[in-house]
Amino acid sequence: MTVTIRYFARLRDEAGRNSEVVETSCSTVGDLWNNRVSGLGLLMAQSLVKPACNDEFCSWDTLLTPGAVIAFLPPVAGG
Amino acid sequence: MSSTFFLSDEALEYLPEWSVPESCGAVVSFWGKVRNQNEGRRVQKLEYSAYDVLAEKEGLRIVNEALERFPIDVVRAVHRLGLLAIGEAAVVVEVASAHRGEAFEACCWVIDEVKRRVPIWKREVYEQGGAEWVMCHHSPTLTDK
Repeated sequence: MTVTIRYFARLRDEAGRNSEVVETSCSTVGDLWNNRVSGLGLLMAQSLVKPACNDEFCSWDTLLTPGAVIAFLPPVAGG
Repeated sequence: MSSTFFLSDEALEYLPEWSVPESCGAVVSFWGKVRNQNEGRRVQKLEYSAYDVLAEKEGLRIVNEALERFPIDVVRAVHRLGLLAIGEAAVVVEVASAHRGEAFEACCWVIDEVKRRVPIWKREVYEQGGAEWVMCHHSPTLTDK
């Protein structure tokens, strides 16, 4: 299936891109993270990252669906 | 009762004035501003970016939760995005209620939750060159597993 991945802030720097469309056989958001850690050499620890799916926070166990937009969010720092 | 949260590309000083119900005897405003130093380094400017759709959803959830948790009448929060100079406002929280105690308390709670939950990031640009994404103090080290 094809999914879109969005990267923000420090993770955008690490990934070297704002977003990407990938063809994947991963079943969960967590699997996709691990896949992109090896694919792009992301350095940030998974424990610091929050995932989102289709503009809502989700868990690492969330199942991927075709066309989903997944986002990986580094620790927030507003205010 | 009313609640608002939004993101703004415009300077917060120029936002329209907010009206407060006549039942409210207390209005508490918090203005978070860009300061000229952080952890010993001179800061030249800050850049805020957001996952805008999710940031507005989560911000709205926070102000709505504030209405449920505290006996307040109005709560509003706005966060600035883009490049900010020293002294510019980055975030404003305003709470109005009948009495001051709950307004102060709710205002503190809202700004803490905004900083903890809303997907907004800041990058500091330093006077002596270089720029870094800012980590909150409660966050563990970046590469801790």
